[in-house]
Amino acid sequence: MIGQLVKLCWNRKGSQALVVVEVFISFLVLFAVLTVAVYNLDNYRRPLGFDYHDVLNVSVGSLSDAAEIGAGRTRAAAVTDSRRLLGEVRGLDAVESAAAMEVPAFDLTGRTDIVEYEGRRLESYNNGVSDDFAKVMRIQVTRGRFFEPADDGLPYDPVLINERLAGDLFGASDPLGRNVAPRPDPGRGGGEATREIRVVGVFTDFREDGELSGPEPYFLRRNPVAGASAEPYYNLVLRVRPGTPPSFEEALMERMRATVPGRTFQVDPLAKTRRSMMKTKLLPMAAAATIAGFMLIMVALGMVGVLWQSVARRRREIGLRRALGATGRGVSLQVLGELLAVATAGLLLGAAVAVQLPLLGVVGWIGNGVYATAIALSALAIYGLTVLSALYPSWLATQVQPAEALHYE
Amino acid sequence: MLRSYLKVALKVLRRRRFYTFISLFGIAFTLVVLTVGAGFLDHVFGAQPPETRADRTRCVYMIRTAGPRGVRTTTFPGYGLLDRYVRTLPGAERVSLFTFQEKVVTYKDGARIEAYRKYTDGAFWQIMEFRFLEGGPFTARDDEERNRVAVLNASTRRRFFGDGPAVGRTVEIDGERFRVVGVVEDVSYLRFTPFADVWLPIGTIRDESYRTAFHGNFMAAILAPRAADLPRLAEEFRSALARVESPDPDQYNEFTGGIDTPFGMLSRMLFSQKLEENRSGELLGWLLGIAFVFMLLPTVNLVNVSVSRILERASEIGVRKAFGASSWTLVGQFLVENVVLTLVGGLLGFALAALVLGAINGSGLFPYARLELNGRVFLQGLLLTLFFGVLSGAYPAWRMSRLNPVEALKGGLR
Repeated sequence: MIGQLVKLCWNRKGSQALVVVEVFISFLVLFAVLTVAVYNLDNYRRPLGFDYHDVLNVSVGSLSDAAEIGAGRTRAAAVTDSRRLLGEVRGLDAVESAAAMEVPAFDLTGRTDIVEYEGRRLESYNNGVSDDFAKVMRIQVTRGRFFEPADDGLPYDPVLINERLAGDLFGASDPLGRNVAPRPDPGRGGGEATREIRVVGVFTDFREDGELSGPEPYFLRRNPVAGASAEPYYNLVLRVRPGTPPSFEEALMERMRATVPGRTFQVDPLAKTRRSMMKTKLLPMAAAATIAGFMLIMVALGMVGVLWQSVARRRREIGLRRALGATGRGVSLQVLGELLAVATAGLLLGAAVAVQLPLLGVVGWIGNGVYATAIALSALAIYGLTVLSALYPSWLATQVQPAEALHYE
Repeated sequence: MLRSYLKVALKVLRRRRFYTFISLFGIAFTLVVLTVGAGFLDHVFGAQPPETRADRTRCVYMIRTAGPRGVRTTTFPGYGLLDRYVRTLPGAERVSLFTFQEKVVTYKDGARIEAYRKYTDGAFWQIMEFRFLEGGPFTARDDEERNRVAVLNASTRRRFFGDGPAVGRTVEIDGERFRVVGVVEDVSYLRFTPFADVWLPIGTIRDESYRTAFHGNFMAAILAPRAADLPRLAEEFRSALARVESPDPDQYNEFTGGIDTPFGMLSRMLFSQKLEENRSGELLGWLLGIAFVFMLLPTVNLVNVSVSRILERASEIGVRKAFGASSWTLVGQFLVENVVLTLVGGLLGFALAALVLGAINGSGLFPYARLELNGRVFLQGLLLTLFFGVLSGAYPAWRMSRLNPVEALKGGLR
């Protein structure tokens, strides 16, 4: 049966070629859109690892300007400023807890460093945070402990790593108490001095760029805000009591201005930052999906047109089949089957091209599972579209009256 | 002759409504996407107020620094670098320095007002032609004397003062008070260089450390006396960068960059890792390539439908051939039909594109953006439509011209 269908299509390969090309291109378009969609959905269902509700982010103006430090304001003054700010906001009634962090959440920036354990080197995102960070962000520590004030006296630098980094670096063995390779620290002693870096805990995750970001290795460094090893902070995060009115932001701003004059501040609820970041990420996807959707409608309409034409042209052939005893069902299945055969040809070509992406590893951070799902879904969608556009023409084919059709000559 | 072709074309289109619908749908949809895209690019990169002198203005946006230790940074330059090496370019008529716009929050009567703030100098207002609704710009003197004066855009004026005039009144921005000296028409968020809600003199920046910084968040706009002077100016800028004495040669001692239009900047960022070359041509090529590939699918679709449509009219073609019409006449007739179809689809597409652009403007996705279909985009789209029509008509017409009259008259064909 299939062999016959393929033969029938091959006989009219000239006029079928264009349909093949059409299916081929639309498959690739669908594949591209679905790969992005599947990748993001896959990320979306993973836990975020922290709680952004009722958290205010304060970015402290010119503290973040690297030029400033080069231009003469001393690092120590900046550190003092961030310490005083933190102490001040902690004292406010509406604030449950406050911490500092280097790289703000939901802003599409990040910092990476190399971590190394027994010859395994990995590039990992990381962030420097103060002791109360886990409380503010509700980080879930699964093994070991979070940073604490007593860490000031440790002879090594404590870090916490996320589950993924623990798996990538240590496999099944216990990461607690292990040293990851020391790195030169430009902050102390001009790049020569090194200190051991030791894992003191494991947390589920901290996906600072939001639900749509990929699963990444991550670790948290401790920056104590006070003491000799402190570095200035650019961002404070405050967990406020639920139901705190927005007018609190203004009071907070005034308080901070009074505490360290000469700085600029920006206060944003994290939920709001997240919303605008989601918008930035989703907007291009939505536009691409809309365009792809219209393209598919166009292709479907085109296929209906071609099939309709071919049914109209082959009335005699169909009439003959009916006269020889074929059922209406058989005829409509033939029409559908032919289109499916042609679509499969386009699909195979498309899949051959699409498979190159994972094979060549063009976009490294997208897993093979995502590609496979996207290819399967695209194929399914194309077949669905094919069946849908064959419905009307194949019904038309069943309406052919053998006597009339054969009479035509 | 052409008139009868047109008449036949319209008749045929009316008779086969389904095919006509498919074709029009494809053409209109493709043109909507392409014209919206072109309208968007035109809005972002085209010359329009306040950048009316775009033909002889170039800007320094990003620079890249590299050092002996392998540390490379690509950032906006700092004021110190631009003040020393760009303001002094001999071939420039005017040079203006300004910051990258940053969002600041002000609270007024408990309400949160967000505004983008740009610090700039007096020359800025002479390079850009802003339309002032009231008052005027601040001057180089205001900048030098650190006068606390501000220019607002119309929307920010409304947010702070309601409908009344604002000049002479005081506005609080990020905890500091400024006297309003001018109000300008809103400038689109998508116009990267001039956009802001509030413009303030650089001299009023509280923290003085920006003055010596080489990295920072400043940009510079350079106005050349004539457009022909631009290549010389680019050369001057390059040699100025080569002369730069790094304040910290251990960290960075090599500077690369160029003076660009926003489009040139984008091409530099995308294709030239060291920011050494302006690759506008390459970027344009990519954009055209993407547009072409995008047009491929509807073209194939249109070809498909057109082939179906002619084959249906085989007997008509057979008659015309039998009566002596040459292949070329038939090809001509068919191309006319297709061009008529694409033009109708084109008009439809433009109407829809205007709706889509209106919806984008109304959605508030890009503050103050007024994307529109101007004459140039319209002409480009029209050309595109014709190209599209001929492209999708050529193959079917060729197929048609090859029909054998005897077979065609019988109505049977492969």
